[in-house]
Amino acid sequence: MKVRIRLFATLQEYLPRDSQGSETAVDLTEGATIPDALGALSVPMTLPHIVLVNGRHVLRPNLPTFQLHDGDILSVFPAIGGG
Amino acid sequence: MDKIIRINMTELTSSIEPVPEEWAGLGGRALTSTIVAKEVPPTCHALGSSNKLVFAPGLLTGTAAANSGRLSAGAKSPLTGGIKECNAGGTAARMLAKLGIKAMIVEGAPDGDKWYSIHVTKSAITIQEESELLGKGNYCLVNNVQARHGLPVGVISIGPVGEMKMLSANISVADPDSRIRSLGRGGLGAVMGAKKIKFISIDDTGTPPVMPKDTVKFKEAARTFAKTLLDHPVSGQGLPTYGTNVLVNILNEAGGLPTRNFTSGQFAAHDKISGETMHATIVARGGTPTHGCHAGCQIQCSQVYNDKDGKYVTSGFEYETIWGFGANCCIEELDDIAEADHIMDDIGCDSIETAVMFGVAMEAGILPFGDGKGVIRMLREDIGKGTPLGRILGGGAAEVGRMYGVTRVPVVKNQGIPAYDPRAVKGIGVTYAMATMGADHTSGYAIATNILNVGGHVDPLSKAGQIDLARNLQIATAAIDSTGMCLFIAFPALDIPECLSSLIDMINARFGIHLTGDDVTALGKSVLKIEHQFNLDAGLSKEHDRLPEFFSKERIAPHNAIWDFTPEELDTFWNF
Repeated sequence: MKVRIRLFATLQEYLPRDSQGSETAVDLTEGATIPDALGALSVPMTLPHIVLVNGRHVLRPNLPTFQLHDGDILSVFPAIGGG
Repeated sequence: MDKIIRINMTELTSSIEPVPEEWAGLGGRALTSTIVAKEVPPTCHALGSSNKLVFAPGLLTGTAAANSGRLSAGAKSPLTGGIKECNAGGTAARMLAKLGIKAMIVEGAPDGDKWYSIHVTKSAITIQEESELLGKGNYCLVNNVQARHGLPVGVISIGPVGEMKMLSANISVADPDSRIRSLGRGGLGAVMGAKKIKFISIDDTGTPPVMPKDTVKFKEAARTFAKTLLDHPVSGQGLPTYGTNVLVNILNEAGGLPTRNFTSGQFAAHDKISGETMHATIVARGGTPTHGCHAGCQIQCSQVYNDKDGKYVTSGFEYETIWGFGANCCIEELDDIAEADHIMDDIGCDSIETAVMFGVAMEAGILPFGDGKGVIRMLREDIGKGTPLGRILGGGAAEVGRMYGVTRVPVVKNQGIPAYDPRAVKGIGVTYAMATMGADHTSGYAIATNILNVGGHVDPLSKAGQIDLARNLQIATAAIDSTGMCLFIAFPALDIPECLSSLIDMINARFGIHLTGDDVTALGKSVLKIEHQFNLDAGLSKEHDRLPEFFSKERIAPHNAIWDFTPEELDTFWNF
C-alpha cells in the first residue's frame, strides 16, 4: 500500500531529495504502523511531537500501534508553537 | 515603581501621583483594566474626552527577568465598544519601569486642531505642540524623534491611520533596532489620535536599574525561569528557528487554516507562505531569522525579512498577518505580504483587522481574491491617505461587511477573527466568543492544547472540554499579561511546573511579598471579571458573546466541521 508522508520544520531534513515540497510517498505492507512508516524515512521516533493521520491527531500512547491504510496522509511535526 | 503619571490633554497639564494602595500589587493588563474600569464611563464615546488611554509596564518589567519587557495599553475600544488591553514589546516599557512609572494615564482631549507630543524624562513631563511630523509614517517618525534627541529614546506613536481615527488604527512602539512593534488590536491608535497625540517619547537617562527587594532570591528564580524557557522545545527551539509562521502548515494539515474568507480550512498554496519557506527565504537573502522584540527576550521569535536585493522590508512578520493576507485573501507571494506588513506598520493599522477586512472586501468584489498588488495599492493610496474608500476599509471587517452587504463577516464584538477556524478548532472558538477583548486568539490560546500538544491535548473537533480549556487559559493569560511577560512563556508554563513557580518567586522577590499560585489564579479571575463587568455596563450583553451566524450554517472542508455550541453552553464560561 502507498502512504503519503508529510514532514515539517526540522523534520524536513529526512525527506528524500526528490520529494514534492513537504511530501513523499512510501510503499508499506498492509498493517504497517506509524513507526514503520517513519522508519522507512529514518525518522527517529523521539522527534515527532504532533502526528496527524488524515488531519486527525494521533496521540503518543497510540503511536506505536496505530495502523495505516492505503492512501492515508501522515503529517508529522516536531514541537512547534506560535500565536 | 512608585508613581502614577496623569496627562490631561484638555488642560495640557501633567501631574504625578503616588500609587494608591489598591493598585500596588497590579501591573500591565491588571492595572490598565482596573484603571479603565474605575475611571472611564462604560457608555462614553471611545473617541471622546471621557475615554482614557492608559499605559503600564508589567510587574516584572525593568528587572533582569527574561522576556519581561511588554508594555500594556488600555482604554475603551472604539472597535468593540468594550474594554481593551493590548501589549507589545519594544523599549518603552522598560524605560517607563526604570523611571518608576507604574502607569501613565492620558485623559481629556484638546479643543481645536493642534497636535501634540509628550516627552517624559527623569525630571520632567513636557507637552509640546507638534506639526512637523504630522501625517508621517511610523518608520520616519521614530527616526526623526530619536534624531531630535540624539538618543535611542523610547517612542510610542501613531501613523496617519491613527490621526484619522480609523477603527483599525494601532499604536506603534519602537523596538531596540528602532523598528516597529504594535499595540495592535481594537483601534487604540484612534483613541490616541482623538487625544491629538502624535507621539510620546521617553528618555530614561540617569535612572538606576530596577532592583528587586530580595536580589539573591530574585537571581535564583530568574535563573530557573530562564532555564525553563530554554528547556521547552517550543520556546527553546521551535519559535527561535521558524518564528510564529511555522503554524501555517500545522493549521493547514489540521484543516483549521481559514481560507478564502473562511470558506475552507485548507489553502492549496500553503507551502508558498509557510514558515519553512519563509525561513529559507530569509536566510538566502541575508536577513535575520531570529530577533527579539525587546531587550532581555530569550525566545527571539521575531525576524528581519529582506527583499530580493537584500534590503530590509519588515520585521515582526507574524503568522496571523501571513495567514490573513495569504490563505484568507489567497495571496501566494510572500514578498507581497511582507510589503503589506511594512506599509501597515508604517501607516499604523492593525495587520489582523486589516487582513480579515480584505477577505471581506474581496468577497464584496472590491478587489479580486489573490490580488496582492491591489492590497498594497489600497493600503498605500486609500487607507494610508484616507480616501473615502480608504476610510471604509480602515474601519475594519465589520464596517466593510455592513457597507457592502456581505453576510460572511468573521468578527466577534466587531473585531476580526484571526487565523484559526473556530469550527475546526473549537477551543479557540470559545475564546473568540467569550473573550472580553472581542475575537482575540491571545486571550486564551487554545491552539496550544487543541493543535500543538502543549499542556496535554483536547480534541479540536469535539466540544468536550473546550469551555473549561478556554476559561482556564483566559484566566492564566490575564495573569501573565499583568506581569509584563511575553505570552509565549505559557508554552513552558503549561508543561514545566518550575516555570510558573519561578515566575511567582520572581514577583515575590521583586516586591518582598508572598504570593501563591492560588493568588495568581485569583488575580487572573479578578481581571476577567472587572473587564466583563465593564463590557456589560457598556452594553455588551451575553448576546455579544457569540460567533457570527454563518459558522453555524456553513460546514468547512476537510472535516465538514461546523460550530455547534449552544448559547447556554457558552454562557457557562462565566461560572467561576
